[in-house]
Amino acid sequence: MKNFLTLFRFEIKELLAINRGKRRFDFLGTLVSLAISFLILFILGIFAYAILESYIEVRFDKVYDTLGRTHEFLNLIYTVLIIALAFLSLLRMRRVLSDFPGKELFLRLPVKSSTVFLAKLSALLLANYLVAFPVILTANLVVYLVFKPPFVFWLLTALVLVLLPLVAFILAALLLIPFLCIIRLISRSYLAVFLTLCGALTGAFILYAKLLSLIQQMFTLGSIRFLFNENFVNFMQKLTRITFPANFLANLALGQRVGLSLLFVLLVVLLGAYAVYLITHTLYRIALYKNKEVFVVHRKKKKISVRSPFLALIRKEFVLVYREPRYAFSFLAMALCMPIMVYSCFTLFRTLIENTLGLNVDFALSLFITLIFCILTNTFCATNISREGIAGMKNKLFPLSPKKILISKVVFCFTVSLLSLLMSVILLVIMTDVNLFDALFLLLFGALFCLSHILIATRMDLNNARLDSDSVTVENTENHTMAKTTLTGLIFAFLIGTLSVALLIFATGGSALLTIGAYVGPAIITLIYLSVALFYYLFRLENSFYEMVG
Amino acid sequence: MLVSVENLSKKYSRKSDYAIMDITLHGDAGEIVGILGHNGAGKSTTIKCITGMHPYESGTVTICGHDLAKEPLLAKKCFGYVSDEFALFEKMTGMEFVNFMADIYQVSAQERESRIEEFQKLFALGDSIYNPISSYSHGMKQKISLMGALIHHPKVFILDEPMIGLDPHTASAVKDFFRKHSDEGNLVLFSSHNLDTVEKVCDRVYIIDQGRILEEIHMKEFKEKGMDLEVYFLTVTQRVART
Repeated sequence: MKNFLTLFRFEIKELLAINRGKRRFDFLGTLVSLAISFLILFILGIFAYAILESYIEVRFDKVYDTLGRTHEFLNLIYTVLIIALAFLSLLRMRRVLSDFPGKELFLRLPVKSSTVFLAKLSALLLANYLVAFPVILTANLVVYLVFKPPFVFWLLTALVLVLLPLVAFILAALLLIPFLCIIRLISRSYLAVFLTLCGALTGAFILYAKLLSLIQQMFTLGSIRFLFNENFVNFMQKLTRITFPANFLANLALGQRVGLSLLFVLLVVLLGAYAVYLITHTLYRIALYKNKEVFVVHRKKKKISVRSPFLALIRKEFVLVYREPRYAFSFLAMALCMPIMVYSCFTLFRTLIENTLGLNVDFALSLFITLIFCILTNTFCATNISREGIAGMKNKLFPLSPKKILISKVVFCFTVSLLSLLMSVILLVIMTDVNLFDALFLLLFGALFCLSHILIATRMDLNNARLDSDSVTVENTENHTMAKTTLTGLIFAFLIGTLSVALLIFATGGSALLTIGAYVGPAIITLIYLSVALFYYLFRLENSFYEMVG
Repeated sequence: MLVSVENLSKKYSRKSDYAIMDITLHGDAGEIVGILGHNGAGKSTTIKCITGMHPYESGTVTICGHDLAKEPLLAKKCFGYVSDEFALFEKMTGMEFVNFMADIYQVSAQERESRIEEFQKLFALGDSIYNPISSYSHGMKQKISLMGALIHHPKVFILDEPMIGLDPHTASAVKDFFRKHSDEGNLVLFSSHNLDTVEKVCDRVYIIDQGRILEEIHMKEFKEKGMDLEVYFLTVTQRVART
């Protein structure tokens, strides 16, 4: 028990990030994070309140069913929360089972593997509770304010607060083995990993775009009420009927068939918990005593191919990014998904501007959106030097000029960006009214802008890179290069975008000069940005390369 | 003279003392030269300055007749280097890494194929060369580092603590390779704190302590006099510590 408490305390500290290189608990940082979280929750709460208030007004077969609608609302929120918590738990469990800090140390400690396992699981469960509590309380508060249930509602809410995170946790543990099998299957091929990342990113973005579209419709229609009709309610009813066990928890909260619902949920928890113990306990013992990395991609024998040093450097850049899931996600998947993002945002904002202002500023808008996404994609280039970690010092040994070595990194990033930009422009031409002339300008401005941004990001990283073994990850870049480059890029993108949009808005009166200005203005700013970037990149380049330390 | 270092001094930023001071050493064709010193003596700093990984304050480094400061690319073409840290691109397979190094040094397809075959046998790598480097053990990473550094058959082979992590069989094979490489008219220059390795392998040894070269020992004469390297090293370094 003493061992368990010591380990559990250690896990809690890890969870609260007290141990991660900080001597003292970051009180101010935690306070700011909490304030931001509560602000977000507050805004979402207001949004949920508006939705529920309109939703309970929907008449089905000309009859109001306030309780039914509230049940569907609560059911949906619980379902989303269970899925999110289960997914988070799955990821954390995988980390516990495959690789976690201090694994070697735990092997040497005179502690049973089951105690380590129990401490880790308890911490994971606690993390679930920490996330679930504010969300459930907000959702139930919204229900209380709109539906006005009796006081017993809060007592039943306390039951939901205890049971929901537990249910999500058990669900995650039951899904753990299939999840690990899928991960193992995907990990066998770099392409499969990459495609999965692209799929996840596209899915997340489509979901985000749908939400934006909902907000846009709300703006257009003046109220969210008009979105909810009989068809929508029909769909919700069908959906919430199958969202087990969230529907039992919603029943419980709203005092519907309390005994039966509670019995069912408790049964699920008890049976699930036993199954979880058997499954994860066995897996944990195997994982703890496994010395080697769990998943290793075995490559096939390939014929030796000879390349020029420059091509070899570019290939190296590609391989190192493509085969590291975090990097592939941050750069390649972002670049591949950029066309969909640009297209979705463009259509959304064009409709919004047309409906609210009655204006057509297609070129300026497409330019603005494209540049913003160019920055988001190319911000990764701020790790061009530091992401190699200690291996980056090898570059200094090569019998190649620093310019050649560094330009290979720029060329790789620029090629990816250019392809992504080209696809975005083609999609805009095919799917929207953007004409060929505008598309060519868009491609030219975008390409020059990307090049400038990559040059600045690379050089900024070169100036600040510390190539020690601790700086091999993107997350560890202590110099805030990514934030600085993103800010620089955003300033120029906003300058270009707002100037172009403003000039086209003023040109609607028929001024040809202003219309030309909407093209020339951005061109001048882009060229200024490129000149600044080139000067910054080339200034004492070789000296900085040789001064780079490990 | 394949390697010539004259009055090399290096100071790390934020530190007032010199890490190495007035280092002078030479290495000729057909020699195995060792730099011997305890931890923190300045061995790695010296090696890193010679290879151009660290900039230095003063002095000259000449490799195969090329001044490292004036003709860095020509100088770098002449040597292969294995560091004490694994500076490897871990997402590549062993074969990809060696091939990449061959591309950088523009080794022909025929040459690289025969060398890879030779090293695969020497280091007993087998098919694991086709696995990602991230899955390799410590010793395996060291072997791949050695292969990458030797793929262009450098005139000068520089190593920083090369024997760490190698199994006895591979360590013996590496020592044999050092001799073979030097007998072919090349220079092997390495740093170590392992007295036994240095005594067995080297033709000449420089003892370094507190960033300065204390002694240059010709091992043949040294052994002929019946002297013991361990006793001598401890005497010399303790004398300096006392002063």
